[in-house]
Amino acid sequence: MAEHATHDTHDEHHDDHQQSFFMRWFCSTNHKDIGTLYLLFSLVMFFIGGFMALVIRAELFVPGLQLVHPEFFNQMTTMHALVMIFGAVMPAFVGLANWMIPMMVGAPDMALPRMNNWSFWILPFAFTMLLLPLIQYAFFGVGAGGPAGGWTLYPPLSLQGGNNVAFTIFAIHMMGVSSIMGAINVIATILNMRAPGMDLLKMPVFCWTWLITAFLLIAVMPVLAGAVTMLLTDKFFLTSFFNAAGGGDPVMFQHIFWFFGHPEVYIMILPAFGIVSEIIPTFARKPLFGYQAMVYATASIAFLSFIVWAHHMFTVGMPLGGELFFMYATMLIAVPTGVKVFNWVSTMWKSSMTFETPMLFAVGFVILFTIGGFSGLMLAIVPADFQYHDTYFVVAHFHYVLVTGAIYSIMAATYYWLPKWTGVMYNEALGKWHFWLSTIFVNVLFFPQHFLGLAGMPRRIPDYNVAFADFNLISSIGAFGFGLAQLIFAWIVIQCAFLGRGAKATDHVWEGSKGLEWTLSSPPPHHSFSTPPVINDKDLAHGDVTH
Amino acid sequence: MTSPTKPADQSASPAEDPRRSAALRTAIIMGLVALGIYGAFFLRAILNS
Repeated sequence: MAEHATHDTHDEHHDDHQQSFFMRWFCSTNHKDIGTLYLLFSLVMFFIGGFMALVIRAELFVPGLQLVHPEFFNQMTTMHALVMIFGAVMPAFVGLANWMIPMMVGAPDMALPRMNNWSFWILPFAFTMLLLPLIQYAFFGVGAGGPAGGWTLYPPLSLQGGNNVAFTIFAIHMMGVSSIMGAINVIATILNMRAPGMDLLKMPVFCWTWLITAFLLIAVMPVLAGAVTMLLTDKFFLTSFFNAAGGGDPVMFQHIFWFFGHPEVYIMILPAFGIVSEIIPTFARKPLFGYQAMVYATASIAFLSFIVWAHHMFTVGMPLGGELFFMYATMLIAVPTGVKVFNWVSTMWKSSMTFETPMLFAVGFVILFTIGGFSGLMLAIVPADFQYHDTYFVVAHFHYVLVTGAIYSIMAATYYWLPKWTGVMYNEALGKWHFWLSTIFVNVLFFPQHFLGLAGMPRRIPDYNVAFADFNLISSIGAFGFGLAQLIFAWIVIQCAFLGRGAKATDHVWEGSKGLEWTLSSPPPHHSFSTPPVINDKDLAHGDVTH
Repeated sequence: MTSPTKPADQSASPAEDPRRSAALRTAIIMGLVALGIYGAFFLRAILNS
């Protein structure tokens, strides 16, 4: 500890201190370096998961079996989801939290820097574990491949996978430990490390949404861990938690899984709400409309996320009273979500907007996420869900929520904060190309899937009736277009972060930006606020809300 | 909705910041909550099966 203290004191006076590559990136306790590691890891996983999506869409380009065996197709759908959820979206948000929360609340670093290092470095091992059976099979022809029972891991199907079950379950435990430690760090940083004067209701909305997300993570990741531990013992230790032949109940797994799974959906979207709530006021040059309502709406959504899980399993068979409860509770979520959309639109109303790339992605988010929200409302209606369940309508719904919702917000955040992180402005023209190509192709990709689902095309199948051929063709063209557009994003990040190409960014970066993070240099010093900053309400994005 | 206590010595290094002991306490409590939820779900399932 004494050594560490000396080191930190040293850092305060030498922000440009030299560390070896190994010490800086493998042993780092600095929130910015760990945030960078999270974001780069997430970008790599985004492309791996995206490649799997392209295998899926290539196979579905035309009817019939074309490129891969059905067993391998099932592995692709399963791994695409696991990689995107646990490898791309969640680590990206943790990376953004690492970079921004200490700077936003005026702290020198995350509260528990060593644990922060551990949180990150568990992830590469977890994903090596997860991907290993698939890599062995795909590249070396060894074993039976990766998990193929869907990311939901429903037994008994998921238990038929051979030894990859053990790999997958161990990987999920490691991801869970990583997420819980990350969440603990966020909570401890926000509750204990805020600068004097940074009251909770003066915090940026991004910090609020992450604080609530962190509580969700701590509440539900252990539930997933419990569920998969029981799967493990059912598979290898002859227990019968979910084995009907032994007196167990497979439906119990679905209940436990979705008690985790639904809040997980909000874990992937609440930080997105926070990001958009930071970006829109900056480019609208107006304070956020209804700051406190935004905070309370976030908390309401988090609470409601715990009482809607069974809407994922209406068709499993449950009492009418249960169906009604979960239907109405699900519809209730539209109220606080509607408050948020109303407030974003009201912030933009009669404002002096400009449409730089972060704002384009934020506005795209508001419109396209709302489409995903509306199809969610349709799915909440029990009798309608009996038709939509397990069709491409569901696939379209959650991709609108997760791609044009969560991933669009991550893109928006990257463009918004990249000049602050790297000290150079990204190429605005390329950014706009990235936005427009992404937005055109993402709709070509996912919108026809609504029609496919309504017509009855089931999800997770490698072949389909010729009646579905046209929309599948269009969808696959959209997928390849969207995938190629992401190469522009990768190039922009490489230009700024690795090549340092671009105009020098000012400290303030954006004309309308407000908040502590913009008072630091671009790029910021090694330790953000070694001395707690003096808080002036006029400098804060939400400084006047308590008056 | 009050802000945290001002550190006694504002020029102290991050590792010496007195807020860290409070942060550690928060972290331990949250860790125990997570372990408790894991145990409770597991116990409930065992008792149920």
